[in-house]
Amino acid sequence: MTYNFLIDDGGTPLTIKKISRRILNAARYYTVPLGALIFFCVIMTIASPNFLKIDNLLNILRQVSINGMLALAMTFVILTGGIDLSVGALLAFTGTLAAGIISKNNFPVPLAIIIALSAGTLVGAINGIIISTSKIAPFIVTLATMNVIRGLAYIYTGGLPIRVVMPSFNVIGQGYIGPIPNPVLYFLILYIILDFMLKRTSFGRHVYSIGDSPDASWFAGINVNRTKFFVYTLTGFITAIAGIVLSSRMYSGQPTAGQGYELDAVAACVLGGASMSGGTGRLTGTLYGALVIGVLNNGLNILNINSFWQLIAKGLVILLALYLDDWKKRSME
Amino acid sequence: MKKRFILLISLLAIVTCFSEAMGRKENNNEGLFFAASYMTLNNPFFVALHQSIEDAVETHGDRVVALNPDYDQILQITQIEDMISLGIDGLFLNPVDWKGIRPALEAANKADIPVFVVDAPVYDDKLVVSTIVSDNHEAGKLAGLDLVTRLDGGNIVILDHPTNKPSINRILGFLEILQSHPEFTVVSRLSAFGTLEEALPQMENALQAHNKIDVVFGSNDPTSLGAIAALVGAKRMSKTLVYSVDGSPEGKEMIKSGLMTGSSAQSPREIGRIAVELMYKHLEGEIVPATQFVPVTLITQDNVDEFPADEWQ
Repeated sequence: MTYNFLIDDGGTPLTIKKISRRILNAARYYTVPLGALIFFCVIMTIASPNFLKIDNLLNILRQVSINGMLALAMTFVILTGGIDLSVGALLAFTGTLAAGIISKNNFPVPLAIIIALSAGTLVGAINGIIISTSKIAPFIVTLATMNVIRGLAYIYTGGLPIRVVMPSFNVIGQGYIGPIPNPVLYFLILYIILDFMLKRTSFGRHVYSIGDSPDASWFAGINVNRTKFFVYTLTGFITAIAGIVLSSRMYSGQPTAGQGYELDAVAACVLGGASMSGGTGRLTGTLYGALVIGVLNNGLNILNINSFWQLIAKGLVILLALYLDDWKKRSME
Repeated sequence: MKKRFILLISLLAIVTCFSEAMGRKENNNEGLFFAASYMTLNNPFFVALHQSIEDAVETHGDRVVALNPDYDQILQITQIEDMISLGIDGLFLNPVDWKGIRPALEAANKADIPVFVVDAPVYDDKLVVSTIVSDNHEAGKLAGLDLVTRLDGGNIVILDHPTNKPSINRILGFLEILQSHPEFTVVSRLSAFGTLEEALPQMENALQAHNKIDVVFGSNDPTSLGAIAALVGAKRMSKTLVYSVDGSPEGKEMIKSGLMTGSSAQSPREIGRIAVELMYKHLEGEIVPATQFVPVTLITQDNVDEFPADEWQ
């Protein structure tokens, strides 16, 4: 987050004025997600003395990290004007695959991780090939692959969770570096790497460009198909990371895991200001979006609001936030 | 300006909603605070179980909240972690997956929160204080004992649920009685996974495969209701006895109308009451048993009127 403000693109020296202008710009851009985040944090702090405890904050961050990783990948997809509905199913498949290879086939942990990562990348690549070589909408393609992959997860596991209790594997999702839970660390590292990719590489500029206008990008000499292919492959790879972390943390690969996670990831992206039509959105926004959803989930539990009402509250908050964001954008124009 | 005003109003509305919830919480912040998590609250069995836990906790002047992860193991763990952050004094738990629940058990242990398991056991039972379940083995035996008084022999179909520990024990108990009665033969053993939707086609297949089926034993009431639907559809109901375990309101209705022969009644009310009793004993420093079986009784047409018709016992 900080380097957004502190690293200068043009190499000109940073002045206080420049930095404060940037902070102001950022505040303007992220009004809704940041506002919602601060708003809910304040409410929760008043409501429950336990909310602001370090334990609970780390607990929220850890819960956010899986959805957060998916949302980071989803931001790339949404920036190209697409959507990937298969991430929830792929999360379950790669997670059960890693667990199964370790506990059923007794493969060493690093090998199992490499196989699961490759499987996730492969599925992403298949999505990418179909989407970039055809005119079928990404929504439809990934809806179909979502079913295929969920089916694979069920077939591979026989419908039952695969238990894996092995310290060298479980430490991936359960360990800590200092006070920070490992999943949070992976999430932050991924955020930094992906943010760099999106902002400072030609690949990142191409992602924005083809979301803005595929035709203009094509005329400008951007390989639209290859960029799309790479975005979906990257999503598969990141989803596999999340799947491995999740099954490591759960002591088991759950074939039913991740149902509806694709939509939570989309919600985090749009709360963070990404536009479903592509070309607009930032990873920092997605980070805030994921945090809003995490604080909201935690808050509704801590306030012990009935689980049926929680669904309604969550839906309404997302709707209200998006409406405010839309309103803000229109009034700025 | 007008738009800002509307924005302000809607924010105020949300604040009001939340402070409403807060106010409710502050009012009774005294006493102990428990959480209870069930695999689902869309099954009347668990609604009855929670009602009983809530009643018992409230007679102590304390309170308990219900969590409904709706068969999602990850969500169940997340909700329990949130409750641990909130600082609960104890947890009543019915696991979605008896092995997958382990991270929640570890989190509770780390925070020194006692866990009492209700209705279905957990694999890592060293991480919990006590497990309160129906005597499922006895439930199967009761059905078997009733069967041998009614028939002199015959063909049996068993509809089981091979991944569910309580169901496995029920069938073991049932088979134990039949061991000393060689005049009965189990002609088919099929997996219905405890649901009506699965039991119906499985029973239809069994009816195609066997011309003579005298007895059906289903691992729970939904399973046996599915079997009855298949038997009625094939017009072979009148020649067949159907046994079950649960004693659900639907099951009792079937017993009254003569379609179901008997169901070994579980009592979610007793399970809940005993779980709360043991929780308070544990909190007062008493030693409680690691496993507590709750007795079951066989409901047949003879005694069905002694049980409440529209709810669980």
